[in-house]
Amino acid sequence: MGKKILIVDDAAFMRMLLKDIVSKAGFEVVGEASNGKEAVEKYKELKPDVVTMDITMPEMNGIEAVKEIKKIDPNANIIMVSAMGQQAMVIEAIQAGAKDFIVKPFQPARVIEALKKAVGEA
Amino acid sequence: MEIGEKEAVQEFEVLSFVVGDQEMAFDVDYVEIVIDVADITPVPKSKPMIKGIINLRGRIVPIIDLADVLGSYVDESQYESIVVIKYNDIEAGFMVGTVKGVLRASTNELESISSLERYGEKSRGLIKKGNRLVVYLDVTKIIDEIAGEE
Amino acid sequence: MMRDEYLSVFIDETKEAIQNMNDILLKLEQDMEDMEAINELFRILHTLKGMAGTMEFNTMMTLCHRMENLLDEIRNGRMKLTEDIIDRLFKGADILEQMLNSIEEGESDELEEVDVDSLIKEFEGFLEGKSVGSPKAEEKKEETKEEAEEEKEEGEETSIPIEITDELVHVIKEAKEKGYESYYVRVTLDEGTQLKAARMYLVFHKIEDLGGEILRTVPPVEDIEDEKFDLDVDLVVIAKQSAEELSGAIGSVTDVARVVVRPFDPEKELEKRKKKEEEKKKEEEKKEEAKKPEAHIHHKDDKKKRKITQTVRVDIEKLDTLMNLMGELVIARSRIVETLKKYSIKEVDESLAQLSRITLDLQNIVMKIRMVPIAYVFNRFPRMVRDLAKQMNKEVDFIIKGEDTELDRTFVEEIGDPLLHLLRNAIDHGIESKEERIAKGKPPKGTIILSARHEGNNVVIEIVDDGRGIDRDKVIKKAVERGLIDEARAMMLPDDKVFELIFLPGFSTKDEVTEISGRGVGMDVVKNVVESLNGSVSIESQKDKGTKVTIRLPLTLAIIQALLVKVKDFVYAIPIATIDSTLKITKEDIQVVQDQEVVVIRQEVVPIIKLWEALGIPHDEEFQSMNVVIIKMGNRKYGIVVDTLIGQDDIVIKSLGKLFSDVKEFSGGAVLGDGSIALILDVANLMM
Repeated sequence: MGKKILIVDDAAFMRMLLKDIVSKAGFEVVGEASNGKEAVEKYKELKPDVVTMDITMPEMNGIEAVKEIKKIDPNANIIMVSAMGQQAMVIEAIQAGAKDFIVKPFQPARVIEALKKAVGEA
Repeated sequence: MEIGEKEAVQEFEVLSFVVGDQEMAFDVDYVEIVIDVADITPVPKSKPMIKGIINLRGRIVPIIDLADVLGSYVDESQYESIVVIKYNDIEAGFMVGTVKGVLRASTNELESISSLERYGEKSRGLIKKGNRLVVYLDVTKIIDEIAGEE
Repeated sequence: MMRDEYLSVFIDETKEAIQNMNDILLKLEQDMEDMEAINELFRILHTLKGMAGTMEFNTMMTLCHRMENLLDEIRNGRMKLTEDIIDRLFKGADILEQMLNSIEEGESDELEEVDVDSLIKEFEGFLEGKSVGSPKAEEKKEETKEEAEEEKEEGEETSIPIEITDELVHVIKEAKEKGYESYYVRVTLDEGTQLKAARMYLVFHKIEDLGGEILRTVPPVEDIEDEKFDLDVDLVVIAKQSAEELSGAIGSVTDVARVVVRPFDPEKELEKRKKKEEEKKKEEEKKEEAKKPEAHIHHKDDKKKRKITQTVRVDIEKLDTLMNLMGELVIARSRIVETLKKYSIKEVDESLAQLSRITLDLQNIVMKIRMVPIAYVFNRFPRMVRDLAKQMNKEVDFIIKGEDTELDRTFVEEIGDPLLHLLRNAIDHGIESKEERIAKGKPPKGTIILSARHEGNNVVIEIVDDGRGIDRDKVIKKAVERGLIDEARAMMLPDDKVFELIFLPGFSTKDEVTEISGRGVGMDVVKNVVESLNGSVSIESQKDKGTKVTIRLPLTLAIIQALLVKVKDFVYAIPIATIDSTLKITKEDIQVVQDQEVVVIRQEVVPIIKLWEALGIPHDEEFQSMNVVIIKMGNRKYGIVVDTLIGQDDIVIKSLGKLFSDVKEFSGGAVLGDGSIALILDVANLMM
């Protein structure tokens, strides 16, 4: 069975796109969240193998969410989803414990590669 | 156009105006704008055919006495307009009398003028249109000549 | 389409890359072992290849790729750089430039007249003919993994670009005692990696996760954070892991193309470097012995790293528009001032003063934006001097000074060709052949110094050579032959006036017109261009000592402060910078000395001219008291008599255009606040 993925992004379109990419590669999308707060709740509930985390989101942003999730599970695998120009925030997220990042617009191959690395398949 | 025809008839447009009592024309491609005669600031020590300079929308444009260039004389009071042309990065205004307008002509209405005749050297020919005879001036030659003169 | 959008950026960057290529090749010509230069050249070609590929300029890409392959072999020590290869690389740079020109003109990178294929073949030939023991040479596809392996195999050969300080030695020593190994690590990211700084940060994070510590990074961490690196970062790392473990861990980070990890012993490394240095010295000595004609190029600050500043690319047209608007603003302000003079309103005066200040500040900033370092022009000369000297079989040391001097962008565009001509002259006519120089007891190698500096409100550019100098008699002979001057008068002239004859149209002193400097442009063109920029050019020369050509350009071209004066109804402008003082004189103050009207000011005899006479304006009345503007040029003074002084104003200089190129009395015109025009007096030419 594929590894369990939680997709966090405030844009439904982006979630759709990501879901499409990761499902095709054999991962199982077990849940979606549209903000950081929801992401933390869903993480507790679903215990996914990997989380893709958007940075700019309402309610609680991606970096805060990483910090919260890391408190719950220090071994959590979180990949940041960043736009160009968010370098400083990506670095902050890495300091907070994110394992990797991918940059929008996505290249499917890179997304898959990052996911595989995160779950130790690569 | 028929196949086998040697010289194709070409149409062209000129801006015609009067200098003295002669109708003359410039190729419209070189004409930038036509303005009324304005205050001309003389430039001492410059060539005699250059009357001076004007301020054309912040640019300094030399003004040329066309009659002088063509070797004739027209009293300055007869000049009504300035035809500003642009060729080879040179912008210059020619003082002319009444501007008649754009004239469409074709190469078969164009007669060559011998270079020995008056205007011959500085023209591309004579446009015959009904009873109108228009001297088709060669702007590029005129400008080159003024620019080249020392 | 994406291509169009990026084309101008592509052109700009490629231009820069080709310029850098030329610079580095010149450096390599001096020192073929310069690893840093070879690496840099490789990087430039790699980037260029990538850019050309993206833009679908395939011929350009292929050419870059071949050159890149060749350099890869060289930097990995599998091939040796030769003079032959450098020549070909120069040729490659030339062709790239031609391709770029063609692209810029809206064509493709396919050049009709140039056989690019044969050059590409030549590069392939170099690769095939290289020393044995490198089976991967024919492999055309560039597999990054494979390269990484090659790098590891040959790793020992390449130099380590890390500065070794006492502190570093000390820290590593201490770490070793605690069971740490020290490594040199080079991390290379994939071409096209996004957010490179964050990516590199992940790499650092990974190393720290393993318990390792990063002692040094090249470039420094701040630069990495600002993404001021290409794809490679060099590190000194201490860790308890083996090289393989470390390499594996770093390699697992996304977007890392390759990792080189090598044990690093700073002390051993230092020794190695010393040895290399000595070898280099020996080789240089050898080179000195077997000297061939060639140009040596010095950049004063060769070693200085290129300063990185944050910049924005701006369309030149926009700058020109800004400049024009600035000019309009200055005129509009003058107009308001003019109008309000009639009414004295205090509140308005204050606002107006503020407006004036702001206008002035704005003007200064716009000026500064338009300033670019003269390096933009100078950069292309080392290459050209080298080629010309080789071609002429002359030995030339070419020294550039003051390339940081800034001047208006317009000048940069215009001044290139005149300077090129002057340099050609210096090489062709100035510098003697080696034999001739030896016979004269001069150093066999000639020197040409091209320098720029600011001097007051001027930029001064000098070209100095230590060649044969200008032969006064020859100049006179030629000028007389050409009917430019009569002999009796010529003999009377002082040297500097004689040399000025060279600037007359149609003058050439070289008996036979050589291919190099005899073509088309003469010194008269040089003079014309410089003068059209409101500048001046002068020559000093001494037989067998050399020649100095000095070009003076105004610092800023467009807006100057001027004194407006009146003669009859005509307004003329005199640049404030040339004015010493103004005074009122009476008719009785004027004396005549040797046919020249003069006035005595503070015991100084100052010649005067009446502006109406100088300009041939009919002027009947002689006033009892007259206004004189004293002009100071160098240590010479003279006075210009005018009817009235109107006042000081900022004026925008506009060229009078080609139709007035024969009028020496004016350097341009300016549109005044009321829309009328004031001619600007060229005070240098008014009094001969």
